[in-house]
Amino acid sequence: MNRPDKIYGKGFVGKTLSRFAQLFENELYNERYAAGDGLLQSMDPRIKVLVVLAFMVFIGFTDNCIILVAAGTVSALYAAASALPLRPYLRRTWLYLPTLIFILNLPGASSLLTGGTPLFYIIPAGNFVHEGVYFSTAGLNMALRIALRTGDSMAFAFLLLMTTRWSDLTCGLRRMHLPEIFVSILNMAYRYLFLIAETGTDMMQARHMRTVGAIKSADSRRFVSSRAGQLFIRVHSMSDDIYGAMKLRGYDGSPVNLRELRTGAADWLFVLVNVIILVILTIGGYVF
Amino acid sequence: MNIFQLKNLNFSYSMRPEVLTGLNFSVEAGERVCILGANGCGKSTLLKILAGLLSPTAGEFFAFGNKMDPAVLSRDESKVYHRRVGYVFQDSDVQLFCSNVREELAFGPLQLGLSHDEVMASVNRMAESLDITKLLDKAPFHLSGGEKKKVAIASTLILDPEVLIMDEPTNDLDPRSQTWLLKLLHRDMASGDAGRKPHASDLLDGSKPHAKTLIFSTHNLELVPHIADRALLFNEDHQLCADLPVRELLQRVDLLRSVNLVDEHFHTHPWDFE
Repeated sequence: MNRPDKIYGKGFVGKTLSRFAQLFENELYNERYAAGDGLLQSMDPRIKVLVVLAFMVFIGFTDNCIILVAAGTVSALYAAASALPLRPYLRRTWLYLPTLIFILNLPGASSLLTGGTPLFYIIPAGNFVHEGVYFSTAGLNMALRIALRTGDSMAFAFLLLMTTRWSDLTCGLRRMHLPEIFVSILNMAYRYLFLIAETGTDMMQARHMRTVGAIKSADSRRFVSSRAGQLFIRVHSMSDDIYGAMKLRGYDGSPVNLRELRTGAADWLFVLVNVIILVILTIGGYVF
Repeated sequence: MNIFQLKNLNFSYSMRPEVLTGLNFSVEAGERVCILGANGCGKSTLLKILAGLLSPTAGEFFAFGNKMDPAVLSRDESKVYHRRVGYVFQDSDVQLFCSNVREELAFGPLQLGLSHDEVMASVNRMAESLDITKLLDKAPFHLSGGEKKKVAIASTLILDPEVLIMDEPTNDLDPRSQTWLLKLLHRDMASGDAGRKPHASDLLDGSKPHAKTLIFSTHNLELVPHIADRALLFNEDHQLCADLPVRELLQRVDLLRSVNLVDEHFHTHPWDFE
């Protein structure tokens, strides 16, 4: 398969083009799995939203790293039961942002900012600094906790998005009595995102095709930032047409869905199972 | 019956010169009208006004016998109007905004509040009628230009509008697809006769006795006599300069040349390069 980064090269413009291409790939990828036959795909989107929210609130209030790992494991089990490919799922949820957040929190985990029992020294005591510089157990625990919370929250949010069609999700949100304006903005943002990506890809490709020889990285960055303004102007004029096209087909702000949303016995059983899991995790937080 | 009537209608986008100046014409039910003119003469703007997307800045616009101003229409009035007047955009990309073609076709009927079963039946019949069944599960941004145009037309026809407005309908279409469009328009615009086969316009109401009104813009003069009976010709000063039967207009080459619709015959001979 032709990967976008292979086609467009590794320059700044090439990388920007690859990102646009990846957006479309991701959308196709998500839609393919959302239309699958797994556990979460069969659930009512409203129930899924509630369960995911419950897990996110729980994760936000949990301090125990073991329990946070357990919550992450629950999300991975749900991913497996929903026939999502585990490796890409784990890579997309855990590899980048949680790792980055852990690294960014490391200075705060050192004795320069957080005291506590030394776990290991970066600069031994007495060499340059009298007490040395070290990571404390409390500091590392804090950094790990923040990274785990981020990863867990992303994992559940990702689970919801990967197993729910966008139209089902917004329809579910509207049926949960979220304000119409909120759901409309979500819908429009989603549609414009692809419009922007498509228009941006065209502009970048036009530049890519007319580029002969090496271009300085600074020039490429300047080009991308100046095109961002152009892109905004173009998309603004197209956005009026898109809204017009929606109005012409009867759109009045209320999202509609081809699939009928029904909450059945399986959905309520799913709620019950998750309540039990959350209770067990809460008790576990006191035990460990 | 007058479907549309324009009296001294002007239009300008904010802070810009006028795009349409002093328009006076009317369109009768069942007419097939072609809007002709060079690039930038205001064809698309006029079609958007007729479709209820833009409000004229001066003059009067009557639709179905009532004075029309999209800016003051209520939600329900707007829905009713858009149910009666369908519009196919020049750029199909702006018209296709759902995640797959099936949802795209279902969008309009769902907004009208049809039941799930009715919507599904309409979608399947429309897809079959326009031969796009194999596209139903595809994402719009994975379609070719011609396929996008077909889906855009299908998504408009599924609402069974009385008036079909099309902006440059042959854009992005290869010759075979242009023929497909011609056949579709002939079939769909034809007056109801007992022997005709069921077609796209029958989807929501199986017994339509009247022909649809068709208004479209194009540069493709070859296409015009096959679809339209009447032509409105715009000059480069944004004014309506002729309102004639199509065959009569096409014979007036000087007039077409004066509005930049045809150019001097351009040809070369092999000996020119010797």
